[in-house]
Amino acid sequence: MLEPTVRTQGVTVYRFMEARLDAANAPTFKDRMARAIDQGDVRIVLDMGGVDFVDSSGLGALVGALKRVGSRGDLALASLRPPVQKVFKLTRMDRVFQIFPDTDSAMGRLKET
Amino acid sequence: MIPDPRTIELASDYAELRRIGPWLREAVGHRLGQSVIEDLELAATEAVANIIRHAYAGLPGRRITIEITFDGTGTELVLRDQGEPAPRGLFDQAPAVQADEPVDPASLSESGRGLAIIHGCVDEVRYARRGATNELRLAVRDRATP
Repeated sequence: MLEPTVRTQGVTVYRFMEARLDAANAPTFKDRMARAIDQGDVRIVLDMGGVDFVDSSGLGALVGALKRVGSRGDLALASLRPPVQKVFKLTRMDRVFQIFPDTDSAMGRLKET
Repeated sequence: MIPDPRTIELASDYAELRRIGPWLREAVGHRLGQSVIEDLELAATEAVANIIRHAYAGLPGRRITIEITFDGTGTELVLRDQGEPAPRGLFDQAPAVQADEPVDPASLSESGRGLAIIHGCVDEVRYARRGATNELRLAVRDRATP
């Protein structure tokens, strides 16, 4: 579900490997993110380029991950497809998350912090 | 018996949410644009998850049906279940979303955004209790093609 693809300068890129993040898999996703964060990955870029559907449960799991990182680090989202961007806009979560067009720009920003 | 493509029956299990999109594409893919189908899928997914979570209190083995109809001006999904009734006024208007100013993530709730998504995806939301059945209607008007 969640694979680390790059680790560099304290930033880890995780790729979400499923096409959907919804009520069916949000609890598992939340657990995996919590495990990664608690193991020390607190500057994370989440590559969602393969995701074409996110619902409010998926959004809730992402908010949970953001809160778990808290002031210890950063969670940035990258490569959101248009249907997923729409969900973030509808709920104003595009104003809460750091969202980047691709993983390179997200990593660049997190390395600066 | 050949299943009616305009109706789908789902069990009260979150895995069933993933049947909604393929069913919609089969039922109305020839009639509606991709973005409208995506909006209907998202609204219906939120509504069914809401039914499983609240009307059926997460209990398995219950039934939800979705029917799709056209009336010449638009498309309507009618969701029916036999769970607990929705609180009065729940679907009457879109809930307020967070203000525009930056929000402290620590203050955010992990739930409660489903209704805003439903109202953002469809033009009309109507709920009625008919006997022991909840009936939720989600309608989109036909959109002019550019």
